[in-house]
Amino acid sequence: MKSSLIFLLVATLLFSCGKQKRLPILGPKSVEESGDTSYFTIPPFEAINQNGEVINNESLKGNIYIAEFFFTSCPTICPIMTEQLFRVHEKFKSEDRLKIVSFTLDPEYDTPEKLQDHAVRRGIDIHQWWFLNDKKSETYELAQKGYFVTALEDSSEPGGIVHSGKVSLIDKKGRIRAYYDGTIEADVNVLINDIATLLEEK
Amino acid sequence: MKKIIAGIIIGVLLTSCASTPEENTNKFTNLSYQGGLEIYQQRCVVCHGAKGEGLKDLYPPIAGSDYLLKNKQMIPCIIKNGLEGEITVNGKMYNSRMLSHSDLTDMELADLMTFIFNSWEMNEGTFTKKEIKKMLDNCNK
Repeated sequence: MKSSLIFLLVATLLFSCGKQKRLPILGPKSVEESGDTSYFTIPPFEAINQNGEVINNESLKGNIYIAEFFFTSCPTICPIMTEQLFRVHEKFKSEDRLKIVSFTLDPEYDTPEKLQDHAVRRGIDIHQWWFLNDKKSETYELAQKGYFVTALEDSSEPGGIVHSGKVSLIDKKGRIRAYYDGTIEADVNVLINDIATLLEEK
Repeated sequence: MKKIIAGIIIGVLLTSCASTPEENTNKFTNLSYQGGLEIYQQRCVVCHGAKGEGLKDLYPPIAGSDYLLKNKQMIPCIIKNGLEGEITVNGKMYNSRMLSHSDLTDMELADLMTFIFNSWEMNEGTFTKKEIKKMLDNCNK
């Protein structure tokens, strides 16, 4: 029993080290008439970034990116998530094929001006990291049905918003490739490795 | 063998739970301070930091804050009602919104005040429920 366990462990380790990991493609799949599998892609959106520029799927095309949902006066997990993503930002600062997008769940308060102030005070470079403001209903819809992460208004919750600490990694075709817990350092270390893998993907 | 492993696991869990991130909290073992520490870790730590150091230019420090000492009587109101607009802390301007913690009772605010004002080299003594009520009455006028 013991030796078979050890064998399994060694085999798993060998297998996982032996070849470059390829990230799975997540989300609902469908098979087209031609027999090809078509994968879910992030639905169209249009938002304003901290510089007042319009950002949509086209703006992200050809880049891989990380998406998170937050708000500037969030008293719970957001400050931790943003600090964790800041590590990613610092690591890949000169990589123009990577973007980070943070959608605000409190767009009435978090105007583009407020988002700009927030970004500048955190020392964030706008070339890589966009803080996005869209209509409230559309942002919540995009979170739930576009990125499949939880975002709900709930007055019993601190800050009035329930949301998940999930961070999604999106490939250059707009497909979801992985999720990470943005509040956990070890998880964000995996994200950093996966970004490097995904950047190399043909 | 199984017992030993279970013993080790429990031992590790116990020691990891017993330690607090803030070293100097041990100096103050009163219940109010400990209660305040717990509230601080639940509600304040993500923005103001485990050492009261704040977060970048975004959220002001509590440790060594001139604002805190100057506005001591107002702090319970600020915690309870939240704060919006520009404030200057140690010569630096901050402008993030702090949401209200309106569900905190006078007793909890007293504990939190006791914790804050006796941490990070401050020694301002304990706060009672009665004192907090008076401060809140004054600021609500």
